[in-house]
Amino acid sequence: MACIVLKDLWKKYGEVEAVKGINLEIEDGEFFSFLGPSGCGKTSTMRMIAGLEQITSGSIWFDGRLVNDVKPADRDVAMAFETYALYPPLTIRQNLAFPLQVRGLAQKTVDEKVKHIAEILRLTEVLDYLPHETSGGHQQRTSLGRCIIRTPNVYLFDEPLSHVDSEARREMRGEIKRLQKTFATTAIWVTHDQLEAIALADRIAVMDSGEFQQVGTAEEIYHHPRNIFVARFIGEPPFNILDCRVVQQDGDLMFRVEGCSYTIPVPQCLREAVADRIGELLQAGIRAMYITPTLTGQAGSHIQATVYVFEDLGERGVLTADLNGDLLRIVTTPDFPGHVGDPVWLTLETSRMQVFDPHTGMNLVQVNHGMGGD
Amino acid sequence: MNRGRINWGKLAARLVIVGYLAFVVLPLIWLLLMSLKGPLDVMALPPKIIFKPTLENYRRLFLGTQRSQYEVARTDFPRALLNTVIVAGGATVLSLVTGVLAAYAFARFHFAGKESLAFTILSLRFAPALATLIPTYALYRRIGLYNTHIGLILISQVISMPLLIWVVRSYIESIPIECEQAALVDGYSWWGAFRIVVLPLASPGIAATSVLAFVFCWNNFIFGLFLAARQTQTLVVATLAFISYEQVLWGQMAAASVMTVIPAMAFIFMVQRWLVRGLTFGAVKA
Repeated sequence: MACIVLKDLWKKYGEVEAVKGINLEIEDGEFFSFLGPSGCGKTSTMRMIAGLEQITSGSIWFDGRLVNDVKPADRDVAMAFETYALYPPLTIRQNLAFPLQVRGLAQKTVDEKVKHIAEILRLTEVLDYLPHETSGGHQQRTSLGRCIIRTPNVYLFDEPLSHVDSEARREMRGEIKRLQKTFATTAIWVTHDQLEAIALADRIAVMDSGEFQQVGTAEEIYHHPRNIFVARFIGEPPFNILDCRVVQQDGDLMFRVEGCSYTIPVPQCLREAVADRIGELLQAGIRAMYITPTLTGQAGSHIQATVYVFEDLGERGVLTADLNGDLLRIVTTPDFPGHVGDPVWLTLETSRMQVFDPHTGMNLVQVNHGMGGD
Repeated sequence: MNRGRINWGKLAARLVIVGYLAFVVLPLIWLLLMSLKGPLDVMALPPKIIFKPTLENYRRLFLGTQRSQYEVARTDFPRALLNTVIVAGGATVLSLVTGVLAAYAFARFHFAGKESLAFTILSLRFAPALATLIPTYALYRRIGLYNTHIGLILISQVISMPLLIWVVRSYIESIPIECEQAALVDGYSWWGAFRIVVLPLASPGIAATSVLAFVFCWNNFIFGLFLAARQTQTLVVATLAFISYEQVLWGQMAAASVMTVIPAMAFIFMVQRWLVRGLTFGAVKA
């Protein structure tokens, strides 16, 4: 149980800047996720928190205690590695017991805890096998079990489910979240899968190129992305972006889509932000679920496009529409009767639109994004 | 007779193998026979295959020392045996302790000149020992290491250390570093992680290489010849003593050779299963 603070944390591998001066405060008992593409610095950050990487500059604090020079063993962290890192000559049971034994717990207590964790993670049948004799799923659960069998200051999960099939992944996600809430231990989860981050974490830090792009709850990140990177990275299907200009039309502000004559009324919430950007090129976007497609033109329709492809995904459908070469993705009912080449009219729920500056990528409307560091 | 066509290829291959085995094994068998022959049988021409075996050569080897009046050979065989065990064993132990740790450093750490240093150590095996023997001899006499067990153990490091470092390094490199890091995070010190994770996993390679290092040190001739005198003579050198001024004591020399060869051979036979696995494993993963 610990509150973790990162101050101006830098990590350089020679000339390469992997982590660039990040600041963050993770609360005690919080389930926090570092989310980002490969190479964004999330694993480096986690390893610095664990003490497995030297900090180039900056500081890390556990509950107000500076831990820069504290060895991993003394930081009291538990880590689940992406590659499992099980001890090959030990059985599953011994692997699970390992972190408890080194701390000198009584054998009886150790045995009980191993039994308990094995039941939760469904490892009871394979307890006496060696890791290489078991399946990948068992190994992954053993790696997780070895991490959560202790009650450390913080759990560190480094993409532990990335090599697991989707069914097992869903199951384990739920179990881990439940366990973390039960023990109220601070947890940090590193992943590149935004669905996982949204499902598990209380707060998420979206990272790219060594910097935090946004830190906030899933709801904040989803509905108020700080920049285009975050907007595009989160959400399935991906965020739709259109180049457009703000124009005055009949006394109202409208977005005119570049390359065609379609206009979308600027919603109330964006009026102030775009008021001094009339005539400039901007990037406006909206999530797939806030567009309604119809196969016949209607009064409120904003854009006419062509059906590019329709995918029936069972519980819902994804329609991809072609507007002058730009592809827009729309969530529909699974029985949408569109065929390739059909014209389709799109109505946007304009109050859900976001506008970004095309040069900086920043959202023109900035909600208070908790970037931490004070 | 007619049990299908004769496979000429296989037959030829078998003949080659038999021929090669004969080439290798026959001298050893001859050596063994020679060691069991009395002085007359040994010199007989044409060589006798059927003879009356005797253990006299062995008896003289072990019981006839300089202390006995009329033994011609000026050597103390049991002592030479002991010396060889001390030198080969000591050299292997020293190489193990320092070599395994050095191998770990090469495998895990990054420091300036790492590969140059590694190659320099390997190159110790390339150079013929004779090339540096004279300066080594002078140095040893100067600092008093001449004719000492320590001196021989130290110079034998040239044989055993590079081998251990290079093979064990590739073994350690094939162990994923996350296993050690997991041990560190779980609460072990560096030494604990080394002991619990690295050593067990690298032990086949370490064992196999130690055996090889031991055998190489055991068989070494040059160092024993130049850097040791009577008190610290090793077996291979002691066998030379049977070539004396007046005659060659073939029988005893053969017995001495057999005694020199047998421990090493027995050792390798015992561990050959691990040896092949151990050495190829490391190579493949490197």
